[in-house]
Amino acid sequence: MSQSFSFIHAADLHLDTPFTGMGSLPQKLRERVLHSTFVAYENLIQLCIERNVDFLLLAGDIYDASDRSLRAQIYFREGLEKLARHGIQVYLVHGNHDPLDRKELSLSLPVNTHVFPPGQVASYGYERDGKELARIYGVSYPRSQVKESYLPAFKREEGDFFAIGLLHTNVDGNSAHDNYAPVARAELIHQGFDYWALGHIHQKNIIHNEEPVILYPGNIQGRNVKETSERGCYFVKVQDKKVRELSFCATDCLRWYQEEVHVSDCEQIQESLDLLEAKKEEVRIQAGGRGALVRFHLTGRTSLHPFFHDEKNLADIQEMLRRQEEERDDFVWIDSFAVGTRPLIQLEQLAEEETLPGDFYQLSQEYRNMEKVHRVRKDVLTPLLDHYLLRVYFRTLSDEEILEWIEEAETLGLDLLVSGEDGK
Amino acid sequence: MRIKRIVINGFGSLHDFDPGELANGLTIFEGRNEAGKSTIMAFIRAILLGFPTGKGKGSKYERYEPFSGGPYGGTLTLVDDQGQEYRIVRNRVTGKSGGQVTVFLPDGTQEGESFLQRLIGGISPVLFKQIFAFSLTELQQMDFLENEEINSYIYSAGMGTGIPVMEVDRKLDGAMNALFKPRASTPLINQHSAKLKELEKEISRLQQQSSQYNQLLAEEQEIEKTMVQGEQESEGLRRKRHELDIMGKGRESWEALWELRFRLNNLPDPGEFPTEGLERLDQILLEKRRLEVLLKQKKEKRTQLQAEMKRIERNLALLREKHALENLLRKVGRVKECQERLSGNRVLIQQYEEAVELQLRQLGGSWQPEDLLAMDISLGQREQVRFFRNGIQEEGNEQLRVESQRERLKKEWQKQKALQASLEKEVSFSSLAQLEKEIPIREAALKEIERIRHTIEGVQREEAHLLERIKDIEERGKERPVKEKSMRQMIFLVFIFGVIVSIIIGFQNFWLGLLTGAFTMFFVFLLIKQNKSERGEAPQVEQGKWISKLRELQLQLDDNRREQDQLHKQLQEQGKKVGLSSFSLSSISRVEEKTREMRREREGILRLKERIKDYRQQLSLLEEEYRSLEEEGKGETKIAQQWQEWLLQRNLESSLSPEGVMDFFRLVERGRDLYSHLCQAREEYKGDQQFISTFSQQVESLFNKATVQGFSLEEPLTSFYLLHKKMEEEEEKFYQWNQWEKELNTLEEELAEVLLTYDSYEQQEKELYGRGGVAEEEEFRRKGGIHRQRAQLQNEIQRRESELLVLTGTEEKKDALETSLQTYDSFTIEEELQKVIEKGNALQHQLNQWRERKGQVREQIIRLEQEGTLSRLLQEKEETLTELKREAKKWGVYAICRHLLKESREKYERERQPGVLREASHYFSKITGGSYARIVAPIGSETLYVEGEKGEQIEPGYLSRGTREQLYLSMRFALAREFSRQVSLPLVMDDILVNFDLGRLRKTVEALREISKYHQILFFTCHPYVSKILLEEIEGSKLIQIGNPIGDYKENVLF
Repeated sequence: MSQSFSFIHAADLHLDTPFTGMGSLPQKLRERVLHSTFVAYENLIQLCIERNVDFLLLAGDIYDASDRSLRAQIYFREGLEKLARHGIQVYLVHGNHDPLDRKELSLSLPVNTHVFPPGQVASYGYERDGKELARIYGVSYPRSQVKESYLPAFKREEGDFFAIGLLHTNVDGNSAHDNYAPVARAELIHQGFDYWALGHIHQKNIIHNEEPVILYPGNIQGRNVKETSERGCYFVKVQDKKVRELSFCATDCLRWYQEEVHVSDCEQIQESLDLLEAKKEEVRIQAGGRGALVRFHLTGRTSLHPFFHDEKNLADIQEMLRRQEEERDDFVWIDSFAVGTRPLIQLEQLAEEETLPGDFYQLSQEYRNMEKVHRVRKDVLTPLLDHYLLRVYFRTLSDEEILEWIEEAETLGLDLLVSGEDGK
Repeated sequence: MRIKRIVINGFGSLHDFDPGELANGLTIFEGRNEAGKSTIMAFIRAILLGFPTGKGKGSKYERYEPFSGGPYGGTLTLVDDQGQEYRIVRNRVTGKSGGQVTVFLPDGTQEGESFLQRLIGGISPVLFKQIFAFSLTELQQMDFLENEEINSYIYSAGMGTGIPVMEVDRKLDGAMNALFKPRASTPLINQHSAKLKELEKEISRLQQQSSQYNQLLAEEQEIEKTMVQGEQESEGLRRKRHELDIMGKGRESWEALWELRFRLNNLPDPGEFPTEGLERLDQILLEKRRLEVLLKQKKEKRTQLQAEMKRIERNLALLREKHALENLLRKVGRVKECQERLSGNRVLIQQYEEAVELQLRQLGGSWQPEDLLAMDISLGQREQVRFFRNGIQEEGNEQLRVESQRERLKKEWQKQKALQASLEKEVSFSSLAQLEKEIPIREAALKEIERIRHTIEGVQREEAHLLERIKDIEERGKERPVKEKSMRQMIFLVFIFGVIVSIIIGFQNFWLGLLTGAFTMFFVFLLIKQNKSERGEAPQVEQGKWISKLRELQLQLDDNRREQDQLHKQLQEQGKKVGLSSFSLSSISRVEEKTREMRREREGILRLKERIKDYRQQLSLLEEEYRSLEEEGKGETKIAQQWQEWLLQRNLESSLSPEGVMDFFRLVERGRDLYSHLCQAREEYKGDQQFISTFSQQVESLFNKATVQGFSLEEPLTSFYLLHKKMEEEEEKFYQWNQWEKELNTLEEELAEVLLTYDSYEQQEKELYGRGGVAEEEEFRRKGGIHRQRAQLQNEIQRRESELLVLTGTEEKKDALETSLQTYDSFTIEEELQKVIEKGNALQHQLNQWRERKGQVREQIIRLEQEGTLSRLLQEKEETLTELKREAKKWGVYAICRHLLKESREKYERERQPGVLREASHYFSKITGGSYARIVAPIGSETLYVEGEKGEQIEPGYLSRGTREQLYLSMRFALAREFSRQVSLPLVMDDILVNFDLGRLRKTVEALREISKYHQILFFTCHPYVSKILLEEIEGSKLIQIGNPIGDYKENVLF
């Protein structure tokens, strides 16, 4: 008898949560953005049905409890019900964004859905034709901040089944994410499980690709400019307790892009505009019918440097590139520009000069260390960062970001000091 | 940029001032006080930067308006580095105290103030006054360096930036303020912050709302539970009510049923009885009655028919001949036709006979009708005749043509003949002969006459000559008188002779005569003249010679006269020849005329003769032609003979022409037609007669066969019709009889059938009685009545029972209903029903309320579930936050930039010298001969320091007046150089060197020389020694003296 079965592993649905780090949108696009997590979720459900999988694993952060979105939960339940109608089981754990202590709604979930209890590892067996093919172990977050590791509690029982661990965790303390329920990769490998279905990290990542397979599927829909590239879930096929197929399936309906545009070859403004326009169309093709949200990184040494450093010019370009986009299904929305162009002046040469720009350049170069960053934060930026109304928004402002500011300040200063000389 | 020319129309004390072209380098304006040096400097400032507009005290003096009125302003001609000339004209204009400026460009276009500003590098009036056009007053001002603008020049110069640092600082500050101010609301970040707070408030409100959701869900569940119970209760009531309803409805049926059952039980059982026995009996009896009546009717009818048939008589023999009669009927039409045609044909035959007779008579007595048929008038024959006819006709035509030709020729001939005859008549051949003879004679004679006349003339001339000579000799040789006398005589003779000759000649030819006359007169005149001249000479010596000669001449003269006579005679003779009795010269011309006439006549006759000859020729031609025609005419008559033979062969009269024969043919044809018509008519007539008689015989035979009377041989048709009518009657009878016979047969059959049916009914009646167990009708009917009553009751019972069954649905329920109806009367049912209805209504009302509440709750739940505002607000919050952070970043960048700029400036000030100060140090050191090496200026501080030889820093206040002026002058030179990065403007200096010692003066002049390479310098002085040094030291400089000269500066040199 063949013991093959298949499942889909997804995590970090973050249903009905806002997109962060993007500027204001026209109404039409905002609606698209607001629906994007739902559409991605529907795509996921549809995929389960199409592939006729045995079960679906959800490794936490299905919605953001703090947002208290009813809609998210209702949608979620509807999806589960749909799966129930197709006899597909669902195993899920709650993560740091939807811990069970914040579960403020008492929505009853359909019978096919198995939620792991908070704080203690439990297991559910998946049986088919009276035979247990797989056993899924998991634990939900009882509260949002779980600093301790749950891994020791994952104990594989005796039995002839495929063991799956369902865990919302930060493996090896990825600094880009909150370090919750931290575990080490090596520990996971040696825990005696066949598959670790992880959640929490939004970037898909296969940590270990066989015996056991350990992976993050990433989130199902990119929700900020850092979450570029395709987003979705993993389809896993198991035969004789071995993973035979592991394939990524995209579910996202909007996609983020950070595109670098070298404008160093552009001498005329129009050339750079054409370049951007062409890049935009390139993105449209890449997005393959999805809506695309784009940040353009302008780089290169160019005579147009002062032009791009003028806010008004950027606003004009942005408006030009955005024109008519909101009417399209496959829109490409230029969210912002990151201007990293450099002026034509030779900075190395400048550093040698005994002129004010030369001194300025040398000085700003000296500001590239953390000590100076802290000084800047304390001495220069205090009026803004410590403002009684605003400080709440700048708590997360990192030193790296301030360093970036310093770099831009250097560019700006040189522009201002030198632009008069080259007459542009 | 330099000033090429200054033209002052009116400015201060100066009018129409134009010192000519200025030098490229240094131009020195030298003049006494009040000469207008400062005015010129002020003028330059005014033209370039506008008339002074200050309002304060003394400003009107600064405006330099001409004291005595008149034009205000003038022109500066500027030349830029490319050598382009710009003429700048500034004039007073009302409403604009700075004046109206016009810049005339090299290409002829005109520009205004803004162009001028660009042209001079956008320099401000203050800066210009301080750096480029200054007097000792400005030079001595201590606060010179406190001017911010100048300050920024000092520091931006050499910093490697074209934009003043302070401006950058200001810019950054402005940008930051636009983004964020801690206690403002309009900057962008503040705005975003406010929006965020609002959004957060709204979000929190909505989140509160969503916690109601659980309560709502619980309430919904509770209501649902209650409602299920209510529905169940309601269902029970509904059932009860239904039961009672049925009881109410079934009560009546049940009561009826009960009574029916009772009645049935009380009826006796009649026992065996045939089904529907009574009805069947009634039917049988009824049927029997009907059949009896029918039988009677049919029998009567049979008797009647038989009687009718006996009455009819029939002729069957006639009927048998029906076929023959019909055959004859078909012939009737033709018989009628024949009868009608007979009389017509009779007349026709008669007519044809007459016509044929007539035709035959026309053809000739001997012609018989048979001949007509024998005659061949076939198409071939006709064709032959036509051939002959054409032949003969053609022949006739030819003859006609020849005849007419002949006629024409004849006429022509006659005409020609007549013409010839008339001509012949006209010409007299005899006169021609005479003329022919006469004309040559006359012509010869005339020729002779002419010749003779010529000879006579020659002889006469000789005679005259001789006479002259004679006279001559006589006069000379003889006595004068004699001579005279002879001379006179000779002249007279000559005269007479000349006259005569002239007349003769004139008779013949007037002009010749006149000429001869004139000649004679002239000759006579000559003679007279000679005579007179000779008279004087008279040579006596040669007289003898003369006489002999004279005699000789006399002899000659005589000979001549004889010859003359001779000739005259000849003339006479000739005259006769031409028919002149007496010859004269005039008659000669007549003769000549006559001769010409005769010649013309002869020519006319000759021409006529020629024509007559032509006619004759033509006549003979005509005759020839005529003869040939005659010849042609004789070729005929061959075809005519053939024709005769043809006629003979056919036994036709030989006189017939082909046309005649054609006519004859036509007659024969017609005759033949007529004859054939006749034969045809006769044939027809005979046929018709025969047909009628046959018909008549047939009719008669029919009469006989059918034994019918009334046949008439004369009128076979009438008889036939009679018979025909009889036949029709007989047929009618035959049809009728047949009809009756058929009817009778049918009747017989029907009668038999009716009788049979009647018997069967009788049988049935008896069987019915037997089955009912009775013997007779009465008893059968009584028994049947009881039986029917029972059946009715049973039916009724069944109906009622089925009513109840319909009400209840099943047999069991029906039985239950009957059972319960035994205990419930209708009143109880009604009472019970009322109670149930009331209870049900109340419950329904309650249910509706619950349902409504449930709907509301559901609606709220759905609303909450579908609530998208929260997500939208959350999204908006994120967006706003992003915007805020983006702006914050901008602000941060600005702030950091400003901070960095500040620090770097401080560093710069600490560590580096601005370029201007370096430059100034250079000049200052030079002017002071190295006493001061360096000028130092900390940024932001309001003063400069000079470094002494030992490096000590000295404030300018501590310097001597001259040294201080030298310091400031050096600063100005350096600033002018700095400014020349934009535009190199001329330096205008008003007597600034007066406080300098000679050594430093010379050093300063050296510095000026250096400066003059980059800047045009206009230097004003009232000190000739200054001019002198400048002129000496700086090559190419130009001196312009204003006002009265100061005098030889050598005298004024102080040292």
